[in-house]
Amino acid sequence: MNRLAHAIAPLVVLSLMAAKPAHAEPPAARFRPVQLYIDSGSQPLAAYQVEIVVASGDARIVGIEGGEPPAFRSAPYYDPAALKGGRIIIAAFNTGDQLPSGKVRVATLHMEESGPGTPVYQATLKAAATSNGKPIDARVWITPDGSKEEEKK
Amino acid sequence: MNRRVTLAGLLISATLCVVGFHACALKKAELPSETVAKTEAAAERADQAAEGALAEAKRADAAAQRAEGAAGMYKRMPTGGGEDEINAPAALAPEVGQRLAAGLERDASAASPAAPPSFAGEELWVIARAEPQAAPAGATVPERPDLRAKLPSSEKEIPLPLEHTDVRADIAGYIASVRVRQQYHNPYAEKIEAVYVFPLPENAAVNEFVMTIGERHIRGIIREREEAERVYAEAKRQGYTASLLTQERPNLFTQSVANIEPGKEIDIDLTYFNTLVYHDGEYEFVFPMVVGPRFNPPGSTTGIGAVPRGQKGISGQPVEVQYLRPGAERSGHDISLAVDVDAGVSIESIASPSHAIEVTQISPSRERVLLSRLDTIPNKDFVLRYKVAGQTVKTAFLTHRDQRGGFFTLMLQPPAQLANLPRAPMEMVFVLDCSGSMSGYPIAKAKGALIRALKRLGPDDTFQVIRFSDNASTFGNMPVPATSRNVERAVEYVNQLEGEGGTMMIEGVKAALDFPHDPRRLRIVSFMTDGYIGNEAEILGEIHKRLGASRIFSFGVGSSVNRYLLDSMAYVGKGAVAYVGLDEGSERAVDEFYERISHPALTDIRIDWGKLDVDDVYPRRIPDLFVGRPVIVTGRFKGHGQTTLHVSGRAGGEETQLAIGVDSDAADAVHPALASVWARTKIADLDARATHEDARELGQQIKTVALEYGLMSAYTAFVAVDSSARTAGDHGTTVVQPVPMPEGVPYDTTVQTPAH
Amino acid sequence: MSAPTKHLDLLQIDAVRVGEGDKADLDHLETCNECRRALADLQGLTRALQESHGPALKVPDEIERRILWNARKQAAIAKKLHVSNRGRRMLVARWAVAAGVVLALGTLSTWRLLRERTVSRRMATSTPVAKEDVDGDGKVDILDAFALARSLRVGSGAKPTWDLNGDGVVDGRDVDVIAHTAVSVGKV
Repeated sequence: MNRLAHAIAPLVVLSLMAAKPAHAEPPAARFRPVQLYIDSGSQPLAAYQVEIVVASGDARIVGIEGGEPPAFRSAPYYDPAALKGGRIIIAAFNTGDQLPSGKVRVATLHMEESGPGTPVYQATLKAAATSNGKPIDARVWITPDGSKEEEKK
Repeated sequence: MNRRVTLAGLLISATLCVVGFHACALKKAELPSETVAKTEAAAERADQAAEGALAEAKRADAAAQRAEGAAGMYKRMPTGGGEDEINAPAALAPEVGQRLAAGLERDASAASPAAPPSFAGEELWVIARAEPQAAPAGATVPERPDLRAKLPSSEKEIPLPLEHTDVRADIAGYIASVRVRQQYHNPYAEKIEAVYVFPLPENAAVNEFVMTIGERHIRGIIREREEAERVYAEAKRQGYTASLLTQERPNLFTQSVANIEPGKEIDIDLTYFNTLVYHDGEYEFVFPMVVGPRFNPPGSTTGIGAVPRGQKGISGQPVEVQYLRPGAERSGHDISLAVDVDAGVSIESIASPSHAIEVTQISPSRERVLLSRLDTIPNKDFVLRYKVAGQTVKTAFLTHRDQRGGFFTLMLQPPAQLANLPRAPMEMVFVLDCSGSMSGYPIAKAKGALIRALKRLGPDDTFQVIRFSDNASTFGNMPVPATSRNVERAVEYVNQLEGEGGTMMIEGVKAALDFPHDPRRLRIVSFMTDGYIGNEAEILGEIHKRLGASRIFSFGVGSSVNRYLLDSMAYVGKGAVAYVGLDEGSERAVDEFYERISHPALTDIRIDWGKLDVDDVYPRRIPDLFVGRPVIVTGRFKGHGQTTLHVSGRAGGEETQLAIGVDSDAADAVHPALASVWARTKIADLDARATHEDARELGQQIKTVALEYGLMSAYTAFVAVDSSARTAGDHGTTVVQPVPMPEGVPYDTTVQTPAH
Repeated sequence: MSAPTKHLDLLQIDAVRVGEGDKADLDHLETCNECRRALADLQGLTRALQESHGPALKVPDEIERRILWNARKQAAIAKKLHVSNRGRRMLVARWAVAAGVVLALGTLSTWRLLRERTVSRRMATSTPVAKEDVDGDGKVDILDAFALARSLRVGSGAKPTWDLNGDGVVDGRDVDVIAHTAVSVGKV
């Protein structure tokens, strides 16, 4: 019996070590949506233009999606040539009556991130207008899923 | 001991049986009841949408009538004076009234239904939008499940991912902008990846790609091909819904959609533009619907395989198309198509030689064409031809400027005096494709064309007839004079030819170009083929090497010919191409061919660009100008203002010059798509050169241009990933969408069967 | 029973046509099909009239004033002077010649002045005003595309310069041209 125990024990220990989860290596590429919000306060938002920059880290766009309100559901305008340089301008507008106000998600960028660390995104609001075309004050947020909000005016 | 062994054996067998049973059960495809319910709901929605479209058509009719009434009202207006003098418009001369009426009619027609998809609707001005699939009046609707049960019992309906394709084309002048919507769904109980190989016009510039999941629209991104494939593979592996569009040939694409969950639907919208062919007073719009089965020479590893449904990998080729067996299988995939033609001038006639269509005139220069619901199986190219009023299109110079600089397109018409010059004696070499894919209708059509061409030879001409399939053989040892006796013998020879065997087109090329050329005659080599080969690059390279002083005029015969090959042969061969569908007579094509070769072309064309500083002009070698066939030249330019272009060349042994006054700032000479037309033409030129020059270096140039202008190419691809949520489970089963055989093409002699 | 709808009169519609309509009128247009139709009719009529007639000739105000001033002055002088018929005729002739010379010089100098102003205006704006700058704020952004889209929606006057793609019509395609320019990272 003792001999059997001595024979089995190393095997048990080795099995336990193999079963213990090793530190999970992150996959080579990670996919994450980055949400873009605009808060136009009480004013209906009819048009916006935002510049987005990957301030640090390695991230590339793999999809551009429209927002939540029906007025901005279609994918916004963007320049395909912009994607190489880590900087992109997106914009959209709606001439209808059903316009959102307050803080709304106007677009989502689907990003492929790689390398160590988490990329940092910055958004700058270049233009915002209400239904009669008049510029309005608004604030923009860019929020990668799973991270703290980053607000930029 | 024996009992224990027996018990163990029984236990193991039982276990294997249970595992095997479950494995079979998992492989079985089930149609969830949700799918059936959704199909019924979709059919109902389509019915409602058709009613809505009819109401819209009635409203548009009323708007047009209002416009007519307003026009009449203005014609009767008072001359002014009296109390209402200030507000009463002045009397209008009749012609002013007519112009006013035309303006109002234009305004009314702008309110008519189904504006081009990019600009429809009041609320949204965006490139892509999601709309419920609205079937316009007269368009097809998806079949109901109960109708499927009524299909002939010999044809088995196979549940497959691609339900429907919707095509919306918007033609303005000579440029078509087309949106193709592919509707995928998962009819199975587990996740799938759908893969679909399909054709587009060989000069299509695909510049937009949108994946729609429910009400969410994700615009895809153009990337270098390797990178796009890597992103797609990784997203698929990690369980994200993703889509990838790659180009296999200029006219052949693969759409892959990963991680479609059971019962879910995903739409893929891709948008392209292309320039229309114009010849002999007629524009031609073509939308190909199915890839023909290609033959690959023995040992080829870069071809396109044609295999039966479910037999992935048996051809050994990197790209395969799976075919449904006619009479035994069908997929239920159907197609709807609408074309809005805005010719800018009155349209005299419009017709399709390939499909049944419904035509609605919006105005004298605008027509709406719908594919009939009786003709919605995507098994042949859609061809639309329309004639415009007045003189044939004049030489035109169009420009576009943006932050990248100036782009121009010059449409060169052949000089009128070419039609007055007699032609030189010819050495006609007819090359007939007698491969298995031509068997039946196609070879009958080709033989008819060939015989008609033989009978139109002139007394000073000589001719040769060559047939090829696995090998090549000739009518005579050398070309013979076109005496009535020789023509009679040749007709007998042609009549006994049949279609069978492979398509070793290289043998036909060698036989046609390798024998000594009669210097007293112009050698014209006329291929009659469906172009169903997988080694296009090799063929084009051989033609380039052996062409010499010959010219290649080809006939594409069939319902879904390989236009990329035929058009490229015409370009490399400094000739032209005509297409003969199975539903039309060959007389027209043959007669036009003779009209073309009966007058000398303007050859060796050079252009003096005057004060314009031009660069990057394509095609680099300007094709010969034939009667009735304009040539389009595109390039970059700097400078402003007016100048005179001088086009010179040789015709009938004489030097000829043509002067064209142009104004690079003329507002009415601007076209928005010219930059992309130029980029696409440059890519095509680089592609053609890659068949006989350094393909790697040229590939880099193609990649650079394609990325800068956001275009698909062999070196770039569109990818879209929905990173918002992972789907459960592994990446699921890959389901390749099989396609119907092109109309008239035999299955048994073209589709590879598994080796026994 | 509700009060009948008060539609815009012709002057209000014409103000909208030339881009000078006030907000209330624009709001009314958005909801009134009748008035929108009237606007479309007026636009069509205007186009037809413009096609059938050349541009109107206008005498510059400065020249007009000079002519009138000279004419009045001449008349006043003639009233005051009591000269013989012959002498009067001579005097009138001399003054007519003088007035003609003054008029000619005035015309010439005014024409040159106007020409210089035009040239200096061109020189002052050596960077051409972008056609895409629909709202005239000096930059091209999505608000310009939005402004054109709104203008098209209510049917207010569209300037020919907004036909950015040169197809002869101001429509949604031109909106797209502006939007693409707005998001272009390569634009100046």
